[in-house]
Order: sequence, then structure tokens, then C-alpha cells
Amino acid sequence: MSVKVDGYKSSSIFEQLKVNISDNEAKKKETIKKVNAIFEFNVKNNEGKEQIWTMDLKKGGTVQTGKGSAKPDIIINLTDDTFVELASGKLNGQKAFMAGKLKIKGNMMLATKLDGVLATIPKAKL
Amino acid sequence: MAFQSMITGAECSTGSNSMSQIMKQFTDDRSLQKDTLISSSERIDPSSFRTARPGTSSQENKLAEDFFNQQEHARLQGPIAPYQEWTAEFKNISDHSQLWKLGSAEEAEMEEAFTRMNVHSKWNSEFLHGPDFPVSQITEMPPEFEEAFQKNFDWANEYVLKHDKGKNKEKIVELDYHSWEEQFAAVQHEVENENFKLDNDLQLFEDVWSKSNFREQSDDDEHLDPKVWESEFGDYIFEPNNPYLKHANPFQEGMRLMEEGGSLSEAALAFEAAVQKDEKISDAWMWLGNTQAQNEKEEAAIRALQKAVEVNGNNLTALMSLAVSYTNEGCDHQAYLTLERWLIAKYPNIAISNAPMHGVNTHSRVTDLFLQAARSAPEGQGMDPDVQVGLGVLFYGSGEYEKAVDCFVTALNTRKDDYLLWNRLGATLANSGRPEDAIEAYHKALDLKPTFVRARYNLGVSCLNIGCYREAAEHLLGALSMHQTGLNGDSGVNTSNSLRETLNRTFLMMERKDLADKIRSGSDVNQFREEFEF
Repeated sequence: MSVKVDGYKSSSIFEQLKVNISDNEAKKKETIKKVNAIFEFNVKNNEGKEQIWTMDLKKGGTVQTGKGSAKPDIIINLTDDTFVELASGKLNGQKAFMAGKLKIKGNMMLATKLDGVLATIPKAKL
Repeated sequence: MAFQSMITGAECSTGSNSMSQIMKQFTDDRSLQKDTLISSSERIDPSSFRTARPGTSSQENKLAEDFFNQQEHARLQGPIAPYQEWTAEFKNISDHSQLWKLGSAEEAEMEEAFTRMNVHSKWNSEFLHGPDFPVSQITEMPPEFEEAFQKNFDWANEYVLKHDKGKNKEKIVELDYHSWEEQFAAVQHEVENENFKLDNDLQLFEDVWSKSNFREQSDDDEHLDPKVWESEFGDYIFEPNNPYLKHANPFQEGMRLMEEGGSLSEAALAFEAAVQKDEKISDAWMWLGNTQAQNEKEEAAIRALQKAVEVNGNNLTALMSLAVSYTNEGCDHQAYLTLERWLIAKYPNIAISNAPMHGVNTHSRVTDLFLQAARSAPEGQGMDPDVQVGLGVLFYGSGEYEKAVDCFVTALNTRKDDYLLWNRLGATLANSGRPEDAIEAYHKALDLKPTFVRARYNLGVSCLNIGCYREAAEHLLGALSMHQTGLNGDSGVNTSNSLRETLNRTFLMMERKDLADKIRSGSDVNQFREEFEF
């Protein structure tokens, strides 16, 4: 099932993440073991609309739109642009958090594991 | 016209009359002086030709009164009035100038008050030649002073909530005339240590963060041995059964392939043969590295470029390419150090006049050096495009994409046909969230060099990120097909994981698991030609 939502640049990143996570079964198990958390992203786009994506790296290893059935371990509020910057690899989670671009509810330590997951998104090379 | 309206005409009584505006200022100022210096009985000035209105001497009304008086006079007396009033006001002020002077009695009183205070506090005599603390013998400070000092001057302590007062009381710092600086530093260090403990939670947080974040290279690990880092990439792995080993002059053959737009994989083989024949040729390693980088085989590129720099530490092109490759691999700190080496090799004067300062962030130090180099040759006349490229890489590394774009564009102005630069511009645009502009730049690069695998890969990534999966797949397939050499039909030992992996995921996003399985099993990309154009 597609996790595409029109009007969000983050949408194609979530689609990629969904594939990247479930792509390889052994890798998926490894990621789940390492991260072991459910992330809920509340993404606000330039029009001020909000959309939730849930990334389950605890049991299912899935990405879905909207809230998941289980309670998230961490809820991250951020803008569409910030998410794209995070995925493009140059803004890291720590910098974003320090700059107040991420609002975190729940277990803050889990946010540190976000960079590793986002690193699976391919980047342009000089 | 303007002058006329200043003093005459119907406007003279309105706010737009500039002369009366000045007058207003003037009288305002005076009234302020009066408020503070003149006692209330003297407020109504007898020498003023303004009439004092009864009952309006209160301070609140003074301003308004002044204003109205002046406006009234201005209206009554026409153009001459302001001038007259002005003179009068001026005279008036001189009349009162003695108010500024202190009467002799007052003066005496003030003098006395001053000495009285002095006698009372004795602070200066105590300080200068007090019996208790002769300057030459200050060896100890009383504990109260110590504590007061801590409280009032040691601001760092304010953060230490768990501050142990008792401990500090006992520990009387011996304020020795000569070593006070050291002592102060010691005390401060201690305070910092305590701060550190307090920040335990934050520290833990950052620890976890840095551990979980493999891509992130600490920017300030000055003491990190570069050798350790280099060994992580290891030695260059050569292709077995390289036909170019039998070639008479493989280096020349490689150069020919590069210039004539031949396959990068073929050229890489030729350069490999060249360095296998003589591994002391820095330029052969450099070309091998550059070719592998363009061929989207970053690790092989880094290994070759490290070798090129090892053989000849002043190989400028190799140093610049190595810095770029390090940046791509997320080894930002290594990249900055490599750029610094480049600058020292090319601009020794700038490097010498700027002795490395310790404790300064590597990125800002190197950026500063490059900015100086850029300033030494103004744009247009002998501008060094490589300095701009270096700056571009530095700004890219720190995420200042706008500046990086400017640098690459400036460099492109003198090197319009540099396909590497077009690709670098494209990558910077892509990572700053401008994929459409990036695609344009990639196309420029590919027009100049159709075999440029990296630009094609980047193009695929941009298409992927804007959700154009089919186009992405076509570009990636095209890139991958160029890795095949005519002789063995596969992409050899130095494979490009990034290409295959990205393509695999692109197929999955298209919900074409069948194609993904094919690519994963390493099948020939030519079998995709039926469905995709590349």
C-alpha cells in the first residue's frame, strides 16, 4: 500500500523509507533490533496542513500514513522542509533538535536513531 | 521657494514651517534645563519677551505653553519674529549661565562632603598602603573575600547549582602576585569540571547520538590520526585479467579514452594497468581516482587518490578530488584537512602567514584560508577557479548551500565546459531542496560528457526524490550499463553498490518486485531494454 500523500515533499521520502526498511528481510530484522521503537511523524507542509506518518521499527518494520495501531514511543513534530533536509543528510537530527526544528514528545533518545534510518535515502554526490 | 515657505506664507503658523520646528526644539531644550537647574520660582523668566500666563507654570504645561507662545508670536510678528525670539532666547541662556557655576559656599560644601566620604571609607588608602594588605605581600585572601569573589565574579559558578560552598571556603586560594593567572585558570577548570558533571544527562544524550550516528564525523577531532582513517579504505583492489596490462602505454591509452569520451570503466582499466606497471606515477593514480569517482565508484576512487597523494603530496588535482570524495563519503573532517593541504601546496604564502591556531574549528580555519586566497585574486583577473571549488566544497560540507552554489557558479564562469563542476553544482542544488534546478545542471554535465556515470546516477536520485520512479529507473539503468566492459561483460571487482541498490529500490517503489529480484541477482542490465529506454 502506498504511503504517498500529495502536497508533501516528504511523501516520496516516506515511500523510499518504506521500501528501504522492508526491502531486505535480514536487514529489516537487524534494524528492528537496533532501533526497536515506533516513530510518529507529524509533518506540517508549507500550506500549514498536517499529515501523520508512522514508522514502526519495533514489530512490523513498516511505514504507514496516519497513526499506527500501537502507541508510538516518540512523536516528532516538524515541517515538510525540515524532513527533506534531514533526509538529504546534511541537517542531522541533533542540529535540527538544537535549532528547535524538531519538537519531540516521548523518549528523546530514540530520535538519535533517526539519522541511521534516514541514511538509507540515496544522496546526490559532488 | 523652499526658503520662502520656511519663514513666510500661510504655512508659517503650521507644523510644516521648518523654522518654527527649530524653535520648538530650542525651547524644548531650554525648558528641560529649567526643570533641572532652575528653581520653580525662577521658571517665569523676566527677561523673556514672552508673557507668562498665570497658573500655567506647572511643568506639565510648560511644553505646551512654550509651543503655543512661540506659534502665537510667529503669527503676530511675521517673518521677523523667529529671529527676534531666537536672539532673545540666546541672550536669555547667557544670562543664566552663572547657574552652572557653583557658589563658593556650595563648592566648599561639596569638597567637604567628598573628603568626609573619603575619610569614612578610606578605601583608597587601604588599597594603596593599608596596613593589612601591603601590595607586595599579598599572599592570602581572607575567606570572605574569596567567597565574595566567587559569588560576584566567577560567573561560571552561577550555573553550578550543586555548588559546594564548604569546600570552597576551606580552600583559600593563595593569590600570588606572579601566578594568579594560573590559579585563576585552575579554579575555572575546576568549575568547568563541576559543570560537566551537572550536564550528565545532556552528555549521555550526545554520547548516544554520536554513537548511533556513523555518518557523522566529529568536526573537531584534531588529534585524530589521519593514517588511521586512511587505512579504513585500504589498498586499491585491481581488476584481475586486465587486458591493458599487455598494452604498450596504458596511461596514454587511458587519457585517450577520457578525452574521446570512451567508457569510464575501460579508462579505469587502462589507468590500473599504468599504476601496476609503475606505482610511482602520481598522475596515473590521480587519473585512476578521478575516473573511478566519475564512474560512481567512490571507495575505489578514494583508495587511488590516497595513493596519488602519498606518491606526490603536491598533486593539487588529486588533493582536490580526494577532498570531494571524502565529502561524499561523509568524512567531512578529512575533507577539510585535505583542502588545507591543497591550499598549503598551492598558496604557501597565505598558509605561512596564518599559523594554525589550536582550538579553532577546522572548518572555519580552512574556510578562512580559502577566503584569503580568493581575495588575493579578484574575480575576472587571474581568479583561481579551484579556490572557488574548494570554497564550494567547504560550504557544502557545512550545509551553506546558497554560498556553495555561488562558488560553483563563479568557477563555472571561467570553466564553462567543466562537466565535473556542472555535476557539483547539481548535487548542491539537489541537496538544498531544488531538484528541478539540479536536473538541469546534470543535463548540462551529461551533454558535455555522456559517459559521466555519476551525473546519471545523481539524475536518477533526483528523479527518485521527486517521485518520478520510471525516469529514475531509466537513468540508473543507463548508468549501470556503462559499467560493463566489452571484455568480461560485468562490472568487475570495484562494483558500485550505490547504483545497484538504488535501482533495486526504485523497482520496489514501482511495485515491481520481479524487476528488483532480477537486478539483485545481478542479471545483465540489457534484459531491461525491452521495458525501459536507456
